[in-house]
Amino acid sequence: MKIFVCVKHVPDSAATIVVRDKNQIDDKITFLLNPYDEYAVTEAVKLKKNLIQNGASSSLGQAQQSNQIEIIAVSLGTSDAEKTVRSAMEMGADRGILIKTDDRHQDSITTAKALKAAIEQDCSNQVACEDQSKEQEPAIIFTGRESIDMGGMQTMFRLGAYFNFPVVNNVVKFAPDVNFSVNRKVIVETLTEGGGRDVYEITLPCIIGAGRGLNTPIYPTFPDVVKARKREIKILTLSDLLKGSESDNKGAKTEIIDLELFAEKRTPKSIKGNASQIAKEIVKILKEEAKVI
Amino acid sequence: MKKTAVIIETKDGVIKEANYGMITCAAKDNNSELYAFIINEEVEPFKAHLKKHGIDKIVDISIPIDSDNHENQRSYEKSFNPILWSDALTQALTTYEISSLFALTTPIGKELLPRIAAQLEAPLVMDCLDVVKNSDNSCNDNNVCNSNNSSYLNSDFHLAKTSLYSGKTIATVKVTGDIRLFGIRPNAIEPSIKLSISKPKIENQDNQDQDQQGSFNIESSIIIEKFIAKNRYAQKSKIKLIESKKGDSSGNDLVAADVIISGGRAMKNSENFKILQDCADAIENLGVSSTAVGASRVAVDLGWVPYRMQVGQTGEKVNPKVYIACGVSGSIQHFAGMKMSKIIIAINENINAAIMSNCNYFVEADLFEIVPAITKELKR
Ligand SMILES: Cc1cc2nc3c(=O)[nH]c(=O)nc-3n(C[C@H](O)[C@H](O)[C@H](O)COP(=O)(O)OP(=O)(O)OC[C@H]3O[C@@H](n4cnc5c(N)ncnc54)[C@H](O)[C@@H]3O)c2cc1C
Repeated sequence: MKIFVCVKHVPDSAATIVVRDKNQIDDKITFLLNPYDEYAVTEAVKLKKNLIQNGASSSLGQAQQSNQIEIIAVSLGTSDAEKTVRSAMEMGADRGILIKTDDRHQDSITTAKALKAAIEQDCSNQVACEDQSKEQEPAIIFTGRESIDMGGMQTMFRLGAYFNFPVVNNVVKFAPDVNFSVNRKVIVETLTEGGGRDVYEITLPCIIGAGRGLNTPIYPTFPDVVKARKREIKILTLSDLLKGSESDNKGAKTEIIDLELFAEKRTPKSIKGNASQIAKEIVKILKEEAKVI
Repeated sequence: MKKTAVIIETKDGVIKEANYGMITCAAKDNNSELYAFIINEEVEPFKAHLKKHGIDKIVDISIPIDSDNHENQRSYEKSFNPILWSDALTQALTTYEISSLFALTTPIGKELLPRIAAQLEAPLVMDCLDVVKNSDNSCNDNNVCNSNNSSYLNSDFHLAKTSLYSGKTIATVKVTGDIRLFGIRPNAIEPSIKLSISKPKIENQDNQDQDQQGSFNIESSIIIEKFIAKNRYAQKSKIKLIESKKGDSSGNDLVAADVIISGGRAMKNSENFKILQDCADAIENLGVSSTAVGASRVAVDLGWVPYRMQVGQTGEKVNPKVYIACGVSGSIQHFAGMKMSKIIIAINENINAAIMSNCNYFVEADLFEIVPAITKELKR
């Protein structure tokens, strides 16, 4: 059984962004694993442990099962994104795939197509699947809810549409059904308006977009880091993967043509006095300047 | 004529305020007929408001629960179901040949838009601060349109503004394709409430448009089309919504609030958030603005308030008229969610906190003294 986790290499949220060449950022800043993807990797690792413990996959011994449930981290990015794939492996992914691109930014249509192609290729190449007849298919694909740099919130849905798998996003609770080994179902909760929850019953294969609070992300130990160094990262290229499939979407695309720093032109003014004077002044601002009361 | 549609969000049978800014944005394209898609609601009461804001047609969409049921004994899916709703909208979009679709970037919009975009393989930009059609003159003040690259000038495209890189940049995204989807950040665009029936939209439409409309009388009532979607997700479906646990709908939507009062680590516990709620209520009670209480991630992580109140990079991105930050230091990640606020007022004991140098007004004082004083002043 193969569990894939799609991970993205994104600028550190604390990094200072500098715009270059009109529509790109200067990339000499720290990049790391997208924070939401940490939940995705962690959940994949939890699921694998859970399935091994409960002997869900078959009647084989635990050691064999451990080999039969594989977590593969997949990323599309420039060559430095290898670092993020490695981070996912330090957290527990067994292998990695990097789809190398020249441009840092790819739109979500291209990204989803490439991820699908890479996942499919991986599934047809290797015979490490629990059910021989199903080996062409991944069992579950985890992603983060969104990437913090682009915030597109759509790649997982596109991936789902290309595979024809059900998709749920912003997942805050995930568990295999009690009869998982028979019915291959999972029970999933998503966060909705006002802190509500939608509960879904989904039959595998499916795509799960991890939201904040799904789990506490794994913090790798030193031995984890050492172990991950020995694991394989397969490098593919975007152009090879998508050969022949680029032209079939009738020019539907998004393209960043301009990027500007969001300049905050605020000149802070101090409000002084005792509590009631300050309160009067603030109420005056609310009324006269902001006109909200 | 091209057709544009907006997905209208309602709450307790009323159109949510945030829709009007989105409609205003969609209505800027004068060469397009504007449709309002409304699912499972009594649309009759909405007619006047929607008309006033520039809607030409309402599509009243309903979704049967069971596809196999006979037409006249059908029962209809009432509550929000992302799978069924997005599929119904996709059907309506195709039936009415809509070429641009707008919705809000709310929890509902975040479910619907990406699902529709994926089904149609259509481009989608979420969380837009503005969207213009290339033929739109408002493009002129944008140097992008004046660029020498003429390929940008003569083709059919939309330009969407959205914030990227944790709110640190504003991007202009060029969108092409037969069908284009846009998620609009609530509150980002001022609604054209002043647009009244006495000053009809038709005035600023071009000739071709008037020809199309013929003797269309602005006074005449808005056209309503009934659309019964096919329920393509029968019982055997691979995904089933088995339960909807309703959230707390008593408070205001954080993303749609005019005024937000946020508390950070300085709040010390859950009970103290009552101080902020009291102040928010006092503002709300003056009857002009919707007000909500927000929080920093620290306050959420410590379990004082629920996650839905978190403002920031990994919380809500908000655009209020006033943001009052109480005992919030103003981390980069917090700013990522609230830097678009029109006026930021910081109340903090520490003059060196980052927020104090990046706001409109700052008060160097104990929030536990100042906030109750504001509440008291508001109640006077
Ligand atoms: C990937 C990532 C994502 C993140 N996402 C978010 C996010 O979405 N939202 C978010 O908020 N944070 C986020 N953070 C966390 C962020 O870095 C900060 O840790 C957090 O915002 C700090 O919260 P705070 O301002 O409440 O606490 P602190 O930084 O501890 O600030 C407390 C402030 O209260 C003041 N104070 C104390 N007592 C009083 C008093 N009595 N009266 C007045 N002032 C007082 C202090 O002077 C201080 O300035 C994220 C971090 C990471 C790494």
